[in-house]
Amino acid sequence: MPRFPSAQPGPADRGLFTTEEVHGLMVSECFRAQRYGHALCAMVIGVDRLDQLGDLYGYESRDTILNELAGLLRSSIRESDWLCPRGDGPFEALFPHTGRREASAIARRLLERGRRLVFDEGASAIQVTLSIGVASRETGEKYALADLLGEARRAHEQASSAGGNRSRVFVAEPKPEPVIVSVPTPGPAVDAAGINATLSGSFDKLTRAMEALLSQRVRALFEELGEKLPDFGEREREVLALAVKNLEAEHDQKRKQHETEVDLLRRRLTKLSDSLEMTEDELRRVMKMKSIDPGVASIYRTVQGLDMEGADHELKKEMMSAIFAANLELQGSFKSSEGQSKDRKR
Amino acid sequence: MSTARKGATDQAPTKDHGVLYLGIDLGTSRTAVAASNGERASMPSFVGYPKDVVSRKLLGREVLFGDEAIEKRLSLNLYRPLEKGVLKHSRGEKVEEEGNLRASRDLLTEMVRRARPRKDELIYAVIGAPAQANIGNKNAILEIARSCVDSVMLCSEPFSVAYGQDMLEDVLVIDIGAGTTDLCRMHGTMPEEADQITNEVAGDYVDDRLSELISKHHPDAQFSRQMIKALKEKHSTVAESSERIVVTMPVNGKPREFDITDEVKTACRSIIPPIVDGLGELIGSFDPEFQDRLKNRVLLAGGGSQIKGLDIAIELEMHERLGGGRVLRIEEPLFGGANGALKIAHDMPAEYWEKLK
Repeated sequence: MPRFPSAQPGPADRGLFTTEEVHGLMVSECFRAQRYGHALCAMVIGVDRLDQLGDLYGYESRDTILNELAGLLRSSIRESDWLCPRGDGPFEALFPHTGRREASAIARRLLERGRRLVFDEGASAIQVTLSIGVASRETGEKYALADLLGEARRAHEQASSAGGNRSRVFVAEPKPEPVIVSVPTPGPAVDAAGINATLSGSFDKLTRAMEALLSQRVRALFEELGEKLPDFGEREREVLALAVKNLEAEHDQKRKQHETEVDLLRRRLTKLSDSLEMTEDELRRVMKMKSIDPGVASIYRTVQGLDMEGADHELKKEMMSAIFAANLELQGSFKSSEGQSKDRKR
Repeated sequence: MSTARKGATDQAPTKDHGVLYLGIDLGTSRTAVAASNGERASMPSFVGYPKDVVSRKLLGREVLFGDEAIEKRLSLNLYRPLEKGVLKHSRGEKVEEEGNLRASRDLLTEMVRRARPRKDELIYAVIGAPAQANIGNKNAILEIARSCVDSVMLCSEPFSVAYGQDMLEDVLVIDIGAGTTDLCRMHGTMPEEADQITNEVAGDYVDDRLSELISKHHPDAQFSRQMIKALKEKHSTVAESSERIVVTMPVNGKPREFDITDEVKTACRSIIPPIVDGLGELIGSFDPEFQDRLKNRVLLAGGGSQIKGLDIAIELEMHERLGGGRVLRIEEPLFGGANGALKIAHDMPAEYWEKLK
């Protein structure tokens, strides 16, 4: 069994506010951030596979790990930041005056420190990792604390589901703009050009929505990496066009390669067909010359015999027997005459 | 020096694809074959071999058959291996025995070939023999047939005609060939010797008579036996109301027309009395209760049955001499015997074929 530092029972003994107390303080902080217009960031920090560790090393070990994590978090945050446990699971934290970029940096620091938490088992060391979900609000936004914390929790679930030992920044998926396709009412004369123009406009809207989503994803990725989002500006379309062009070039190359192969196969097939035709003609000619005849198959695969249900069946059966008997006798006389002629020759 | 050894590829193919039945009518003038693959063939019973190296080179073959052999006969040693319905070399005649034996073997082989058998099929053949062929005649046929087919049986020719028509009871068959006319009485059992009569007044006899009459009445006309045969086959008739028969024959190299109507009719009518004599004998020796029935069911078959009006003429003769009669001509006179032999081959049980292999 691994050796752990002695566990302190109860959340109150961890030296933290209770969940209810902190929650109330967070609500106040949330109002303050909106009143005075500064950024606010929420985080949900949890230990990866905590339940499995508890099953493996005992329930006491869970408390020990959580105590250690609490100590780590306390030493990593500012005095103005808020931290509280969420029942028996992850910790929730609120960081006033902290934008998304700063929050990502904090998350990276916490992850690194979390990896350094090592528990001695005796023969081997147990290392724990953390999953962190981050949600933020910038200045001027109106929101509720519950929404912010909910987003952070969802981001934490994403980080944990992705394998843990990582952080995720919550990115709200933009609501797709409804594509309204208005088709003119059919009248005596249908304006095909008008219909095409309307459809074309709707597709343009869809394309712009997809581009917006792509931009948000790229931005979130850069922020997660702690990098400043470059200002693509007007070059965004150029970048996309370049990417599409590269893809098209690759596709064209593959298509040309396939067309070359198909063309080669077609030519081979034509050549083989011509050879086959020539061979068959030659074979027919030789067979005709040599009078080689493959023959025509009989309609019978086996010996037939009399039809048992036919008319005069019995009479015909007698006749067949008589013919056979006469031929058998003839064969006998033939063999004996053959034998006699052989004797005479000797 | 190594010698090539026969490998598996040189062996005959296994015959496991099916059974080909053949019905063969070996006739003095014409030979016919009917097969169970739908093939049928008929050709004059002539076999020709090139006389020398030059003719062999010109003809391009070692042996010719049928009409082709007749056409090229001046370059060939021509054989007609059958006479009076049996193989010549089996008649005990020493003249060209080897040549006739070879020709009869080649003739039968060619008929089997014309039936177009597959190499992987068994061939079971029934060959019609004249009603009164002796054992020597029959053995001769069997001997040459065994080299061409897997199993062979012989049966009476007129019997095979009746069997092919499904007329097995109370029927009189008249099979007029070139060498013989066979009469056979069918009464619900296999015909015995007493049920069958063979006479030699047949197609060749008509040719001889026609030749004599033309020579007698038109002594200037030049003709060959082949020409007479062709004239007969084209114009043969016994009907009173037929058109005049005018033919062209050379006289000292110059073609001239001759009216030979009377000669043809006289020659063709010459076979009727012997036929009716034979009918009378067979009917008279039959059960009196069934004689009338027999008289009214006379079947006319063979190449000679193609003489126009012959069926009516025989009927009139029967009315005059036997008090009545009815003659029916079969639909396919050239293949009547072969068709009947094919039917016998089909109906023969498997075990009988096996035992005769």
